[in-house]
Amino acid sequence: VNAPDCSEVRELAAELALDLLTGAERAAALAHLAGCPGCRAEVASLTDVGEAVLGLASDAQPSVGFETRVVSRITAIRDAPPPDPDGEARAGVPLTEAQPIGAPPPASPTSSGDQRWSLGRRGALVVAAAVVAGVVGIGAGLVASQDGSSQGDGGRDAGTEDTGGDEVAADLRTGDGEVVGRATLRDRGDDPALVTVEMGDWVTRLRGYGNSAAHSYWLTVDAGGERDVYALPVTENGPWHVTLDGVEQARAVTAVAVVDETGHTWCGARFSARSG
Amino acid sequence: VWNASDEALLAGYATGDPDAAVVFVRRFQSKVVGLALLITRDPTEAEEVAQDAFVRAWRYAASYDPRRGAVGGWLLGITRNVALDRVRMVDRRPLKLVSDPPFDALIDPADDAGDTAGRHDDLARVAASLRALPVEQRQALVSVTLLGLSAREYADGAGVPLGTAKTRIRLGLRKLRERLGVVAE
Repeated sequence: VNAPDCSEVRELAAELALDLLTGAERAAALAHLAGCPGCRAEVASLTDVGEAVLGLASDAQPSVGFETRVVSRITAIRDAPPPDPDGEARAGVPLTEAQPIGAPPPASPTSSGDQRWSLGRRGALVVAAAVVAGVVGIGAGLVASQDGSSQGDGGRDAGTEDTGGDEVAADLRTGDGEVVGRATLRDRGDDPALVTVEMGDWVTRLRGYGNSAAHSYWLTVDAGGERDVYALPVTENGPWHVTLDGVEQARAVTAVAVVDETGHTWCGARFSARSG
Repeated sequence: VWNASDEALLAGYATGDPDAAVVFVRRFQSKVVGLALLITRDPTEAEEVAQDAFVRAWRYAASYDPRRGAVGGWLLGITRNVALDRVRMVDRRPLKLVSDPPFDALIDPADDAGDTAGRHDDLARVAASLRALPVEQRQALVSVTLLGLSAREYADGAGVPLGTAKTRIRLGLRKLRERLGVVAE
């Protein structure tokens, strides 16, 4: 998609305001808006009109205690340890350079407790409760599934990719199926398995969502029927290396996903076709 | 705090103060759940969406700009986004728009709205303006806002080409803006 000019963006203004555009068309239009106050004002005024229409929805009552449940969730998030500063302080990673697939693993982060950047288990669990509350019930439908394309067909660009005896990679996809990054799972023998998450420029979209930089993101790791949650400091561009302290065997990992504190899943990858 | 303005209440909500939060949620919950129900068409999902929307609103409270729209509209915009995030992941049954248009019921604010709150006047004005649109533009707008359909879903439901659907949406929204007297700055 070529960079659209003002007249093209004005043409799309209603769809932008109602969030009906997707993919490259939306990205190109948003990029134009970022530098064009006139078009931004046009879209904003149409957004106001769209929001006014939403007020016509007929009322419906939630079940008893709804407000208490909302307040509990907010309190749990508010009282959880702040993920970004704390997580980064413990980090050592994220790395600033991408670790090429197949390259040797980075210096073992296990030499010092300070090098691990997964949250303390207790902290993670508090947030996990809040996150899972939103995620459970949607289930695997949210995490884009790969359909085993690596089993001998050698398709390098498709789906899960077996890059060697101890490493697999899979596309990170949104619910729309858009590929937004890559997740690599590395088996390191006696050391904890390592997941590398790379999202490229897409991270800036995560950061920009809702005009709020205060948003926090988490990486969920499904393994052996359980879900672990790790802080994902998107104030950095990544890629991130996540040491899976809680996972016995790398091959037990079935899926990873990037979620926010409301439980919304942004993208996910499924490790479906590993050898061995 | 019961009589606080929406803006003041949102400010209290942003701090996470439990008392303010309860009042804020109670003030808006029936609208939020109502919209979530329209889009998800499932009461359980709707309540989960509504919870997520309130949490997201709390997160984003600092980004609310009172110069733009009312707190209620802002919150409902968030609700719609949360609901769409969710329904776009699953296959909803298609709506047959031609044979089953719930539009007139939708855009008729409750008659008991004749109380003092200016909010109801605003709603009545929006409803009247929407009603004044050509029926196909009204149908298109209601479909992609209150019902949470994509342009493609609306086109399929109405049995028109995608280009026609988009034209109806564009014309309808612009015309509605004119009628409501919203000015692009």
